[in-house]
Amino acid sequence: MPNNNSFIYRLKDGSKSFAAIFFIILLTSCTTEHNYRGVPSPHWQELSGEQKQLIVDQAYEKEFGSTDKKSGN
Amino acid sequence: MKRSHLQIAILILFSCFFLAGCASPKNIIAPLKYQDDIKMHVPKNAYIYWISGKHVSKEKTSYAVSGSSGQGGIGEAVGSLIFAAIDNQNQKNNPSQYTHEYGKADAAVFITSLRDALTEQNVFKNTELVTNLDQVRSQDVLIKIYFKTARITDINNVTLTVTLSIKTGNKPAYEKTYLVQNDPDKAFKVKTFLEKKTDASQKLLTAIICGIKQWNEGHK
Repeated sequence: MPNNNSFIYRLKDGSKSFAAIFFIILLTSCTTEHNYRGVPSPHWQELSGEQKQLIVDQAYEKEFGSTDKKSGN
Repeated sequence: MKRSHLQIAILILFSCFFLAGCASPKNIIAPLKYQDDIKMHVPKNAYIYWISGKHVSKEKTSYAVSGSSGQGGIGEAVGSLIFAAIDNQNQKNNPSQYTHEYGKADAAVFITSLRDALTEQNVFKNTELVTNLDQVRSQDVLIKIYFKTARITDINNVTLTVTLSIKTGNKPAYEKTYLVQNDPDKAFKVKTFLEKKTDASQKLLTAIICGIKQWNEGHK
């Protein structure tokens, strides 16, 4: 016998779906951390525009700088 | 107000707390200031080039969810399991929230602070940050900062090993390696990890500027 007094039981079907979707979105969007050029997103967001550019330029040079020199560009 | 409405309100409130928990506090050091006078001027353009080395991170102390003591019963045990699962998943997805590190972002803040200190005190004709060494001409001054290692000890002390190299013209490069650590905690004041990082970075800034002064003395 289901417990008629339980919170979940008394919610309408629409409310249950809403609650389930809300929690899935909450858990998936909130807990995913991006990584920008080796810097985690919480740290990245605190950097100024110049500091971000510096990290991007450095990563670019590291990745493509030696290739450019080898190919003579 | 119906009881179910109240429960939904509690649910939303819980979600707000959950979201607030996801918003992490400040993680990287603030721009540093060099307070003393440098009292030197080199009539050349200077370029600062930095290399990011090995960063050793350390896991933050985790607070384990206490298990059921038998009083709470199955509800408490299930609750503990759910919280542990969420915490575990969050740890996988957000490693930076669970680790202490002195990373590339801190190094970038340090480098811009060094450039600002040298510019403000007019130490060189012009001071710029570069990521490509081809921009530097032989008569310019090239300041290389190599962040070799950044270690975090068990009590969250920060130890930085950094090499300074200064080269201009055909003269041999001036090289010096610094090992700096934050000041230890005082009896009734335990510093946060961010304070320790800032402390170590401030010491490094002083050491690097001291190195530039020494290079200038030998360069004359």
